[in-house]
Amino acid sequence: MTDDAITSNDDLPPCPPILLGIRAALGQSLLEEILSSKILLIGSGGIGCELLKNLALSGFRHVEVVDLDTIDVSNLNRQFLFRSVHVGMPKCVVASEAALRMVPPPPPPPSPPPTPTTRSSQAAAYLPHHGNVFDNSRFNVPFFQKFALVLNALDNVAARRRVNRLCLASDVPLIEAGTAGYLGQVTVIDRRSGTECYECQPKPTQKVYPICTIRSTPSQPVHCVVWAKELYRLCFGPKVEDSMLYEDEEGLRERREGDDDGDGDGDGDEKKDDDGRRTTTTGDEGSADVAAGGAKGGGGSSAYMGAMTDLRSLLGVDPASSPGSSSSSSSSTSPTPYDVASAVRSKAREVISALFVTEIEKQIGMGTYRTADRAPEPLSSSDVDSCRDVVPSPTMRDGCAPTDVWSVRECVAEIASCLVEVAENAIAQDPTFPLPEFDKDDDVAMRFVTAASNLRSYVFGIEPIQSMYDAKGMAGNIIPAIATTNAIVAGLQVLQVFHVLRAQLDVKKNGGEGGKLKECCRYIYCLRDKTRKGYLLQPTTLPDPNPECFVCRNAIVSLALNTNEWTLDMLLKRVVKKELGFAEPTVMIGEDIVYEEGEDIDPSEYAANLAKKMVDLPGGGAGHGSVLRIEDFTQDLEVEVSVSHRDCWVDVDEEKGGEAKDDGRAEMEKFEIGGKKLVAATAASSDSMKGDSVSAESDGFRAASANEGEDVLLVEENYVPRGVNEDSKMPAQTSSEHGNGSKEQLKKRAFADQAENGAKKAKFNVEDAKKPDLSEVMS
Amino acid sequence: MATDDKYDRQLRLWGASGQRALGNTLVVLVGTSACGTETLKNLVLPGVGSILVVDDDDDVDGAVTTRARTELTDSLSKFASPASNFFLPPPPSSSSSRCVRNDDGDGDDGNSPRPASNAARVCALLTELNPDVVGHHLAAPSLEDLDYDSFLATLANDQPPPPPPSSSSSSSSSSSSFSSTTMTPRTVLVVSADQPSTVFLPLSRACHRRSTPLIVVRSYGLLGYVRVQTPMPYHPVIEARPSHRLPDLRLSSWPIFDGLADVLSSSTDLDDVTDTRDRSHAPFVVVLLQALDKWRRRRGGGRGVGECDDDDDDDAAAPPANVGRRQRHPETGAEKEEFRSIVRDMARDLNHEMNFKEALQEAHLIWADGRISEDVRAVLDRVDEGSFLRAAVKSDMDVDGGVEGGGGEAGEGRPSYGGFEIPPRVLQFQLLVLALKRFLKANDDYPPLEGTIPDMTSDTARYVALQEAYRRQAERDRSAIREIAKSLLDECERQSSGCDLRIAMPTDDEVQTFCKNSRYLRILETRPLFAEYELQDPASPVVASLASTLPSTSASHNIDAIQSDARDDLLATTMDPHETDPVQTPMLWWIALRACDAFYDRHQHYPGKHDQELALEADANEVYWCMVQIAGSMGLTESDFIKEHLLDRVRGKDLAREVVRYDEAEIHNIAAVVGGVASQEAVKLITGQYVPVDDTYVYNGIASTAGVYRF
Repeated sequence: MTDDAITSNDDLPPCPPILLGIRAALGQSLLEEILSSKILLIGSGGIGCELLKNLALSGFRHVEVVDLDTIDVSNLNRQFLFRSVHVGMPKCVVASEAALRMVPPPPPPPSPPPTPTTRSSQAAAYLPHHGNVFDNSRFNVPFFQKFALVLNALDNVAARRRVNRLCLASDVPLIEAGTAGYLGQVTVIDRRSGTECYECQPKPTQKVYPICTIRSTPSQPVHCVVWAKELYRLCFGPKVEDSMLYEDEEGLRERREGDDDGDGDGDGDEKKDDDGRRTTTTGDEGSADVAAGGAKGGGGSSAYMGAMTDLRSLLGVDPASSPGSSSSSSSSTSPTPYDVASAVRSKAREVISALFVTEIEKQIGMGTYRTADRAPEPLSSSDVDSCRDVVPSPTMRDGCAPTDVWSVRECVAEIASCLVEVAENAIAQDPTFPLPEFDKDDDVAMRFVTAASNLRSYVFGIEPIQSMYDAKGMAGNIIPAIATTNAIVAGLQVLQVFHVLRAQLDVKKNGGEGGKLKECCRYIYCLRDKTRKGYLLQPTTLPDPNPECFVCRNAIVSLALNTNEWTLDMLLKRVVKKELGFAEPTVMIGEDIVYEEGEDIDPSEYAANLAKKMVDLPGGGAGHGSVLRIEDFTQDLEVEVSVSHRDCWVDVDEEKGGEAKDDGRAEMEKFEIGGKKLVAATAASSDSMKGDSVSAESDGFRAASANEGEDVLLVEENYVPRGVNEDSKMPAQTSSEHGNGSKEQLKKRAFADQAENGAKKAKFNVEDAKKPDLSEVMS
Repeated sequence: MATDDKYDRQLRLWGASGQRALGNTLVVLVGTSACGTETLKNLVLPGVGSILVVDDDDDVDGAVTTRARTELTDSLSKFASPASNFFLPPPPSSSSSRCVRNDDGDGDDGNSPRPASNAARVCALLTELNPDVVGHHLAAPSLEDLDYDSFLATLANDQPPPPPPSSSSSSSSSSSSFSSTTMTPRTVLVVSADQPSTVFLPLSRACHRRSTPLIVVRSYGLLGYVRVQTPMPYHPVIEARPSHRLPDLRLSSWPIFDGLADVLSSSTDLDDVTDTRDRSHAPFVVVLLQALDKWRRRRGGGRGVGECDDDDDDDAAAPPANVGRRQRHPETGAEKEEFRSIVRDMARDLNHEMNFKEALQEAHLIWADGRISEDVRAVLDRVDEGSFLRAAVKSDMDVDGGVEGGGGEAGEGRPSYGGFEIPPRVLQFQLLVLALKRFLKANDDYPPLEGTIPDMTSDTARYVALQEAYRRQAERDRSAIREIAKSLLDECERQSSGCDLRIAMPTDDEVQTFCKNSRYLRILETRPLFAEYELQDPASPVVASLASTLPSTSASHNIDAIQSDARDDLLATTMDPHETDPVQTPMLWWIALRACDAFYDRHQHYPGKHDQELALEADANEVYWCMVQIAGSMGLTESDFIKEHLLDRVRGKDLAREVVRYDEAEIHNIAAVVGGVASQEAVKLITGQYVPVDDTYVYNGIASTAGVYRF
């Protein structure tokens, strides 16, 4: 590893005993490099803790750590620099303090001052930066340029993209890593060496479910869990219309008028049947609307939105929208908590009845399940009555465990008690309650989602009913994480650090350009099953950049959407920021700047453009065939987007014999990035069989990413690294198999995490993984 | 509540049963090197039940060179200091009086300045990482002189060894100085960290006798390895968690099970369905079954028994009588293609009928018919009822040694291993495997149905109906297995003539887990480490002295079989070296490392100790000579690869020089990687999930690569 031949150690400067091993194995000059280099570490979680320890014990004296998180109990099983007393404190502060103690004391001053690298005798410094890496005022290109290299120990794609871009922009090598369960992977990204960047390869997409599956034809527990999360949003979200279950204004208004007419006061119980009947009627009228408007998969105006709106105002989520419209939106009369509890319980009964009785009956009435052998069974009214505190909520029971499975009535009771809890907290003016977004670690949110999801499972006869523990895994997209894999991956990362430093040292010594990392660094997979050669750690050459990568290769991004409907605002939010990851975009059509963002820019300057449809923008509009230029100075990124107009969006899964039918996605979700590729991949899967694995895979990605939903995804238990599952000698084979991954297949894939793990690059679906086996079977 | 659970993230990997197994385990660490400490750290964090750290006293400077020792100590205290309270200032000097709370044994021999022993310090610091873990430590005068057999015997006792009557103060006594009172873990796992062969060979031998799993870890310069030695008779794996598993649909079994037949008969022939929605929402399972029916009709004419296909290929075992003549399914390439084209023809519009598309993609499920695989068959062959019954009943020392190996070719005279007893966990496994064998006999070699189906395009009702059919059948199969297991136990009972049985009826959960995974059962049996050395290194004085005191092990046919197997494997591996850089093939470096150990056996120190160039070169020469010897005893001298890269004097000497240069240095970072791997294997051995490596994981930190070999 070192080119120092066997030499005697006599003439070397003294060295802390713990570093003698490093010196023996790596050589004195690299040791000096280690002592003097500045390292930036992003993330101080599972891998971060291991890295800090490894860095400290390897002699690094200057490390800065960026992390936003605070310490949580569930971190303690692997993030070993933390103790339970630290729960709630910033991770980076605690971790860097701990690591600093491990740094070996500086070697005694060498008798003949060797090289001017006496920096090494400065006091060691491990600096925490408690903050978000997206904060451009602190973590920007000049900041990154201070460091010899950057280590990533992150748990989400967004932050990885950000760091990737900053490193590319600052010309600083990045050592990236991630784990999932027993799998892990490490790679090095360096612009000057011409390696693949983090965004060159598609990130496995989150599992997406067609809206109709969620809204009307669930068949698996996870469909119900996703539905329940949407219901959570519908109940507590800041914008009710963000929920997939939201139903449109027309029906809603009608319904509300009906309410005004019908409801005087009186108690909720009697209104129930009343409600039910009335909604059914509106439902029938609604079908006519659907035929006309056609946007809703399920059809009909809402069976539940009325009750939901009342509930939201009762809970104080929304200000009462039409004061006095409903007897129960009694927030104006400042009721006592007891009143609130009973008001909430009666409203909860109304909502549950609407969701699990009326809505289901309506769908049955519309013939949604006419081909079904077993139609869903609405809850009975005695079940719904459990709202009224007749059944204790299962989480109040003595000895309740997260693995308990709740009965129908317990679920109903649980929902009611969650709602009461929320209402009581609203009155107590606890601003943090409920969380506007679903959070798997929020107890109320998890109880609510579990109960609602299970009620739906009961109605549709879906098994198995989930315990709260199981539902949490599904709802929270939890990636299993263990200490052992983190230890391995972090160790491998620091070894790559040595390689990078050696390469940098060579440049210092011998001059030259640098950018030779491909020769010494490797992309390393930690596999679960050994390859045919018996390898469990599989190092491969750092891959070349994907020529179609818009981040490191300035490739043109093609974008298809309805340019008559999309506004600039939608484009910015959904595509430019979310999909392409721009932080402060400047958008240009030809020479005209149509939008600009940043510290010194007056937001009002372009405000007028935001509401404009794309075709109406200045500079000739962004219609079919036009090219947008988008720049982001904070990331030194510039991309050209070629726009094509498309107004027909067919829902593949609700296909009726080839009739094109609007798929009922919100307009914001109807777009395709890399649309041309998609067509090629779908129509001519045989063609893509000829392609190499990279392009086949990126096609697949685009196809899938066009359908990417919010945060709907599933954790697959088994991940398999790309191309190494059988034998790395067979890329053609693997890729051709992969090339078969047409859009449908890709959609079906339950890709492993997106958000939390890093091993994404290294894996694709089980489907592909088993292919080599199958090819034998099939031949 | 789940949110308060610090183990939440790992429970999602190994489940409650895995966590229970961890909590019931005592991990014994022999040697407190950085690598061993790392290994233990990764087991303490996830909540292993208890740990026992064993090391020799610091002042003994026989085993490891003094310099390495200080270095190690240093690194440990560095590593460990964050484990102490952060609000305390770090200790004034690195290795000095760290206060060990549960220390009652060592460090206080008089008022000597000598601080607590390494074992005590490491133990205290590690347990701070996780308050759930009970820590024990033991400082032995010499690890080489410890009687590991009786040492393990005391551990296996459920009774806590009485704290040596205030022998606590005399840490020189080789008996233990357990500091804690309760010591009743059910299973023991031993980790030997960076020990010379004089320690790990006796340890390996003792672990083998005591049926205790052993992991040997080594981190040396930029190299390292992890060696797994499974407990006797073998390590059973029920939850092998293969990285890909085929859905268990049983589409081509004959006849298909009743529930599925009902689903099929209640669905109309898709050719007659006109409603496009109906057609496109029929599950692909139905599509495939209808297509199979068509295919059979086309081949055989008539739906009856496939009388025309009697020619050649009933490849599986002869069908049991009650099944009747089995209907065929597509097997040859042409037949498969024919079947696919039937599916294609059934579809009206493949671009829009997702279910037909899925049927095409999943057509392989028709010919991958779900019978028991060769791998599982091998597992079944290892278990026979006779020896199971004997083992289940006998609770005392086995007199005739008949339980060894639990089977194999029955009737052969097997060597007695003395006190060896089949562990209850293995008995439980054998019981279920025997039940499975009977079940297979009655069910045409089909294992219990898994009972879950994959996601597919379908409407809810039909999906649910299908799901229900599979679930019910799986339940039936499961209760059949349960019944058989029960009757087996009854037989044991009858034979026990009043003695207590060593086995109880498995819980429903255990039966379910077994049934769900019966297609993937595995057994891992590694060659004991001492046997490996015996065969490879007969010249080593250590091995020689060991051999003289031990009954010959090569009498065991199992070890022989594994041995010759491993030889073949190894030779095959050498045909296929590291692609880009053959020198980096981990096997070569392992041989170099072994040569360093051999050097140590001869000189009582590692190569590279003396810094003068001449001395270094001489060491390199000797290491090279050892490498050649080892390659020879491994039977590799005929391999072209070995000839070219190791026997070749220039290249081989380069390898030797590199390891001599390490001078026994332990690099923390390498220790971290190797410790990570070792703890991962430990978790696999403890939880019985996933298949541990067989048997040596070699890590080459020079090229960041690693391979698995059976040496």
